[in-house]
Amino acid sequence: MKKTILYTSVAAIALASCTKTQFSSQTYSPGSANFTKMVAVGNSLTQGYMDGGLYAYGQSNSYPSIIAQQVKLAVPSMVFNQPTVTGNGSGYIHLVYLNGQLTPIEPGDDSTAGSNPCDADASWATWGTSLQVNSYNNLGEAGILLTNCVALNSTQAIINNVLTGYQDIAALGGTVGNPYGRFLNYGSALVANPTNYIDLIRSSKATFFTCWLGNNDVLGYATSGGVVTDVSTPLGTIAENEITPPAVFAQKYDSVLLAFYNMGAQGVCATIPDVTTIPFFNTVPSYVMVNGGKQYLWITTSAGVRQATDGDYIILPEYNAVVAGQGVYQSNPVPNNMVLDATEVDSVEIATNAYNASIKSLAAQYNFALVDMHAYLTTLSSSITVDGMTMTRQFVQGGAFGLDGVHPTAIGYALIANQFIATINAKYGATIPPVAVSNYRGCLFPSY
Amino acid sequence: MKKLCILAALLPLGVSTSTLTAGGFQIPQQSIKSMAFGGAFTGYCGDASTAFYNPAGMNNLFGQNFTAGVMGLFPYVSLQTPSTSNIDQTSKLYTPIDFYWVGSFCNKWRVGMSINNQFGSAASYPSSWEGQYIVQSISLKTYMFQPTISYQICNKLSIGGGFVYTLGTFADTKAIPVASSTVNGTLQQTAQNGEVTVNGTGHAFGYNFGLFSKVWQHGSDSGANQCLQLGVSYRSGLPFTVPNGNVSFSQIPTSLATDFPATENFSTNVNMPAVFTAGVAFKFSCCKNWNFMVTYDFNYTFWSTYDSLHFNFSNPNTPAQGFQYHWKNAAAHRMGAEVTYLKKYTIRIGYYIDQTPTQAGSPPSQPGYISPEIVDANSNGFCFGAGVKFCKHYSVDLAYLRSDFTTGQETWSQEGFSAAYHRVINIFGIGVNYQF
Repeated sequence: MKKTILYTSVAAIALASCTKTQFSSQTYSPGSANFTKMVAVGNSLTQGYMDGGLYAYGQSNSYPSIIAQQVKLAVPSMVFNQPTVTGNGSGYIHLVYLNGQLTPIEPGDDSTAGSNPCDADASWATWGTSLQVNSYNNLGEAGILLTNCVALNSTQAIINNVLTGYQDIAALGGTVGNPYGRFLNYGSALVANPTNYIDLIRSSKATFFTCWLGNNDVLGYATSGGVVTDVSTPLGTIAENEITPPAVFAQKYDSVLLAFYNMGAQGVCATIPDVTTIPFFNTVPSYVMVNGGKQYLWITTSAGVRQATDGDYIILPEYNAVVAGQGVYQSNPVPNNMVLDATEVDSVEIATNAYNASIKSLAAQYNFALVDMHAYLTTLSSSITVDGMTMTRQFVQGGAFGLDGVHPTAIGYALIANQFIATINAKYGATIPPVAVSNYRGCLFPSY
Repeated sequence: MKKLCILAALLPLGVSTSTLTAGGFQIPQQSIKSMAFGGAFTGYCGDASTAFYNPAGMNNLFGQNFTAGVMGLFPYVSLQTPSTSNIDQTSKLYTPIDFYWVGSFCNKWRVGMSINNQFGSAASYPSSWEGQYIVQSISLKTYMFQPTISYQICNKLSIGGGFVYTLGTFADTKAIPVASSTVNGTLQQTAQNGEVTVNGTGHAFGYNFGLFSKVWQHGSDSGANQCLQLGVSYRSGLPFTVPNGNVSFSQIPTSLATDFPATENFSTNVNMPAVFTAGVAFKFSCCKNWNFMVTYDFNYTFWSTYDSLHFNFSNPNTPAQGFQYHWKNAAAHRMGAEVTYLKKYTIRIGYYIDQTPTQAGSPPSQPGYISPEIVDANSNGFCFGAGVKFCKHYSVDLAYLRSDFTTGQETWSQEGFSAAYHRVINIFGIGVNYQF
């Protein structure tokens, strides 16, 4: 009997060990990277802007936040703070199902379903100013241009401070600036050396940075259909939506990297995507189908009205007007600011390529890592499959781009974060795990 | 007749029959004796399961022979992805069954019947796991019915064959990445995914053919004797057609209902592979009390017919789906030995090496086809068993098999998924033989 018990217990132990298949938990290493203070600099993409607004969900899924979450698996003590908004924040675009059609509703548009659940949060009007005392790891500021981060003379320093900060200036007729930068302590424009974004970088004490600046230096031109507007101000004429000249871009990008280099930081620089690959430029076709054939729309260009070709991009905000018939007749062409015509596309691509050449050579010069987001987003916009999900640049259904047609969804940010992580791992011998992209979502579809 | 009914009563045990044990989704263990030999049986032909393993071997049996068995298969599978240290499958216990009859009504002819589950596969995962858009649960079950006859051409050679009717069922559930925004009218940031379930039933016809030879025998009065047996068998492929499968979508946002209607139909074809086996067995004894046997099978499965799966849907808005598997033909070596004392007590032992039909990317830059739907790799298995003959008519067999493998990071390029896999399978089998 004793023997039976003995044999039975031996058998039970043997069997239990026979059924263990679990992998032991992975240990992740930061390699030679120093994540004591990780700082992300950039624009809307970095801030976590999503669906045409800055709201809590978008921020918590910003690519710097996702990278930090993964880095913490290697460096649990790391702290990563973001200047968060409350709830809907600035408000954002959402989809409703109206008369059998998916319809994007802008924040502030309360005409459809009575009240709009995605309107701005009440706290948004005064958001940010109380946050200036804090030091944040995510310094992303929606809307910022690289050219407005660095001043080459004292007049530019004032202009930059006005454009990127947020303040009441009587000479300019009231409150001016960028509400998305309110969490940053820019101080006043009316002092001897007004603070610029580069100054905030210099005082960031970063040991590690991600830098994805420069998108808006060409995106603003592209999304305004290549229409540059001269605005006269007390500080002179400012050419709004102008493409930043590549030489200026290179000089200012150098300043930013030098700032990081001087503080002994390590980091990753990202190239500028080809803006013509995003849904904003690829959703409204430049033709309508008539009797099974393509009839190209009439468009307004700086050289006059002509028929569009496949090389002209009509932008997303023109969607309803084209559906209503604009562009079909020469007498009612698509307006100039609603089309990025082929000549303007050339300007965009020449500038983008020049920017990227500078980013690559400067990153190499300072021995920083480089992630080629230009190449990656070109691949993403055609088709990419991860964890059984296939993403394309198709508006809404493509999965990776949100409802403004420009900014990524949480899936898109997760994919971007994984590109940064792979680059960090390769450059610094780290083993930071990529994030499971299938845990993130694309656009939200109304109800079921 | 009463005793027959007892055997028949074992059959309903196999209601949930599916498994994963060997290369691809074939189950080479189709009787409890053969299970103890690592699946080798084509040269041995030692009980009624020869109707399946080698129809010609039925001439090795006399009188009426019934064999029935059930296996309890405990799969343990874990995955490690680049993002997650460990994910456990939630696959459950499976119980494949088998039933065989071989009857002798005259000297040279035998008739037989075989009912079993030659192919099967099942895997299930936690519903919100990382690969939820690839598979949440999948199962393939086959039920084979094979009436068989054999004929002894001469003293040394017999020939046999059977007609195979197969019923197959297939079920697959996975998540669809369409996130719903409102649940009960409230806007949610924690989105709920859609889900799709595919069910299908199909039929296939095939055949089974074999040759068996007691090529050399030598005996002496002292009880010492030797016998060398050779067997060859070929089981044809089974081209399943699933003409009218059912697809059901759930948790789909109303705004996408035209693309994903609640239910629709699909059709597909699935090819089960042909299998060629050559086997040898050598029986010998030194005295009347002790009998020995060693056996070896070489197995070759024509998995390259399992190249891809295509689903065509009845709703024109639902795009046809295709999955590339690019499986390759795969070989296996199976061997076993047994010792019998007093023709009553038997101990068996076996081993096999099984090549996987799945294709990893080689070199790794090439596309890989390793899917979490069917976790497979080159593997081997150790097995042992015992048998007791209680009386002239009855005997009982027990067997145990264990297989364990761990892979490196393997990729399914088409779905953008990679993982390392660790699979342990323990199988316990019990079988009953009745003969008169």
